[in-house]
Amino acid sequence: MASVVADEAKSRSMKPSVTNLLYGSAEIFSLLGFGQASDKSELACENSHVLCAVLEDSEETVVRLGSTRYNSSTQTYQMLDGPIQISASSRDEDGLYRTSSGVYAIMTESEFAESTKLCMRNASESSAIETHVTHALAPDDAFVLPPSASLLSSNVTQEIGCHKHANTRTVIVAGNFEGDSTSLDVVMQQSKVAVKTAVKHGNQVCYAFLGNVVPDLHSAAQSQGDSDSMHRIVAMAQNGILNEGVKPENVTLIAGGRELAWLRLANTSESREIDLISDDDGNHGNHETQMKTQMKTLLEPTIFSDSVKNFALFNLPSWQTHNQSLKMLESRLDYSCTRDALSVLMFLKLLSVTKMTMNAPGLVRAFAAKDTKVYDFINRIIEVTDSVIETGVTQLFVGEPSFVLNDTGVILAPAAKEVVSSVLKYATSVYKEYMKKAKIIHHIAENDNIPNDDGSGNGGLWLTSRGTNGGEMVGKMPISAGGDNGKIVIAWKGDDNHSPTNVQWAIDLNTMFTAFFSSFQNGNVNKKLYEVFVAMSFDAREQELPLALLRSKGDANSSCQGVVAHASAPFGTIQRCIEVKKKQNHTTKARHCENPRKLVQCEH
Amino acid sequence: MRILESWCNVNTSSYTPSTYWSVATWCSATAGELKVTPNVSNDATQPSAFVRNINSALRAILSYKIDSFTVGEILQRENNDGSPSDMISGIVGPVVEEDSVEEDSVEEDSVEEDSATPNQSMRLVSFTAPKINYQFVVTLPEQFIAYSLSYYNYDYQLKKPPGAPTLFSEGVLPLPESALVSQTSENEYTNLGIRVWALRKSTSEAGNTTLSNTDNTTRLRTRLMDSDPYTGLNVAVQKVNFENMTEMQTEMQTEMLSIGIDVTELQRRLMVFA
Repeated sequence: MASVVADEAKSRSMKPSVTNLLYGSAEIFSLLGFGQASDKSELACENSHVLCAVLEDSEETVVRLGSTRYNSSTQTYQMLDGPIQISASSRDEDGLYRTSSGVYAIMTESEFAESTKLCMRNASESSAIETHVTHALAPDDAFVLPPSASLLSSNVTQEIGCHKHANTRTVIVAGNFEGDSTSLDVVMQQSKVAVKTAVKHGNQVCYAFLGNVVPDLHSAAQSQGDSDSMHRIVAMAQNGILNEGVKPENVTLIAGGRELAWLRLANTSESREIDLISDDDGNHGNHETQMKTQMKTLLEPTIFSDSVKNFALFNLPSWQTHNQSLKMLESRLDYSCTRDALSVLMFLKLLSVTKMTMNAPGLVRAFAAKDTKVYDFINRIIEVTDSVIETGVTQLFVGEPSFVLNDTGVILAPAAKEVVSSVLKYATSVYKEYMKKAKIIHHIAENDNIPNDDGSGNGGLWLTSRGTNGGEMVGKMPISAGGDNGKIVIAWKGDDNHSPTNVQWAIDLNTMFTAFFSSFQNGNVNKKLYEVFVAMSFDAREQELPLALLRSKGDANSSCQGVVAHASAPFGTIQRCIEVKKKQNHTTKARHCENPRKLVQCEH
Repeated sequence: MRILESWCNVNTSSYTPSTYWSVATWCSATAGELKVTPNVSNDATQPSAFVRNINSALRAILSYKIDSFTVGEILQRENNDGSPSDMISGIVGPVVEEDSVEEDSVEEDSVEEDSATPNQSMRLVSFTAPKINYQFVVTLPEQFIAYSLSYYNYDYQLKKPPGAPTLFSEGVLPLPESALVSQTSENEYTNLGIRVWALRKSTSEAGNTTLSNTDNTTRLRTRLMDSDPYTGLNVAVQKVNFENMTEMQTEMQTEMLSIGIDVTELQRRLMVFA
């Protein structure tokens, strides 16, 4: 396997002429108790060690060359910052490694430091010998290696982890179950290995769900009763995960695109698009008033219909088709329409809304799946109508002009009402509970001692389903959403004074969302924010750099880590945006990842 | 070099029942216990020896038929706006070890122990193009990946920002036998073999897919960590410069002609990692 070797490392390594007159290796090893390893497991440590050359002079002078790491598969020590590779089998009885290129010693950092002190003490005590002590060459980068297992110990040491009160976190992050309970089962079962390991080391275990868990694409046959993924995740958020000892406050919920799109189904204000057609005239007892309200809901167009005149120009042609279908209904609808007919029409609208404007063609199936007979029937209706209102009207009603159900329509009416009822009930129960705790973007710190509002966000973990729109939203608050230059865009307003850090900005944005949803669930809809959060559900999800601009402000050396669900792939990946220095000019920096096209060609 | 941003993507919803999650930990002991090291064979086999099989696998992608057209033909079409046709590109995924294959789902002959062959790690790479509603998941020898992408072999463990959590990506990737496009006949270098699966992007209209519906599958349990230098790299297929390429290209050109690919185009966009 080829390895990247830094030029600087090459130039400074393997130069025995830089003679640090330290001490004889045999003396050091005997003082440190260095003996014959009893078996190979003592050597199979995967941490980094110090690689030293042992000069063939009378003193067997030891010179630090760099760091090395043991590769258990090849049973070799591979120098990390140079080309030297030493086979474990070349180790002699005196603990030194003899190869064709020379004699080497391998020890831990602490052993090396100890031996250096020892040597300096010996050198100072010996006035008869004039020595020139120089410092060992520093590692290539300023980093501190973790404590490594001693080669000298007969027992393999283990890292003991973080102490109980450190509250160091280990976070399990998943999402995009689309209602699929089986996939959630897999995550909960298979993540137990990591959880047990974390608990063993005294970590505080947290779970986070990145959204898109509402029943949708993959839940048709699986969501029985309360077993779909959103139900179970809400239960975890409310009660904690008892088996894993996870407290409710350690379960983080993120609102994904699907949850934000569901705001339209959860809307109970006058601008709602879907409603249940009641069987009677309600408390008012006025048939005409009741019908008028329900017909208004039936004919309510999509959001943005007043700000975007031509959806086709905004890459939303299916939205335009949907709204045109509603116009057709408006031209034919009158008070003679029966409640059953209205129920079927509302069902057809629900089909159209979910398929044509929410990119969720499986949603209705998911809610029809509770009853096998209903599911089969609804499934046939969906296939026949193709979720287009006009086609449904042709198939389920008798001729024009008024809406009179044919036989199929009459049979469908109760099931249609049941499905609409199930969706709305879900939106005002489980979904509501999820959204009350949900965040748009969240930052988790290493432990409780690093409060989130303390600043930089360095060293933390960002959780976001959709990314940051190329950094466009970072540090800003949404003002409105609407059509602009062929796109539905969100207007953001920056306010550095209000959100001085990215972590504080995330808190402010989440607070805004929570406040919005709190009034939204009571039927008081802030129209502008309603449009903003719905717009977030369908803007570009596939972003090349989902964490753009989340690095701490004003710190040129900062970096950030996160977990996202921005693009679907067959397997999970870890990607990076890196900065490299050009070799010919060490002061010039080149970002490999800045140009998305170049990104594809050559870097992450 | 330094890391500006690193992120784990857990979204596999379009390819369920594939299920992935992330583990992020600030505890070095937990990270140390969970960490994974690919098993790269240290034998003297030159990566060029893999190329024939890899070419065979990638050819299988180009000749895969979608609605009566091969992928190669679809790629050759110009876009509606007259822009050049698309190239196939891929993303490097996790490493698959021999023990990654869950026992109850493995075909017997694919895991026959052969003491003469090294237990080589394989790397999952997924290829697609904008016009294609499929992801082609390919298993390639880790040794070949390490050789081909050695330029990107940064030691990210050493470059890790101070205080940053260690990221892991774990999951289960079920690969149904019905989606298997190609498999090398000779398990010369690895017991897992170089194989290609065509996974269609799923929608609810295609029906529900869950793990329980995929009995006839090879289920791969994988884990990778953020020190893995190759994960997440975007790769393209390009002309290769190995010594034996002349002979091999001639063979390929003949075959590509037979499936309707323009050979001059082939020179420009072919096929194997550089």
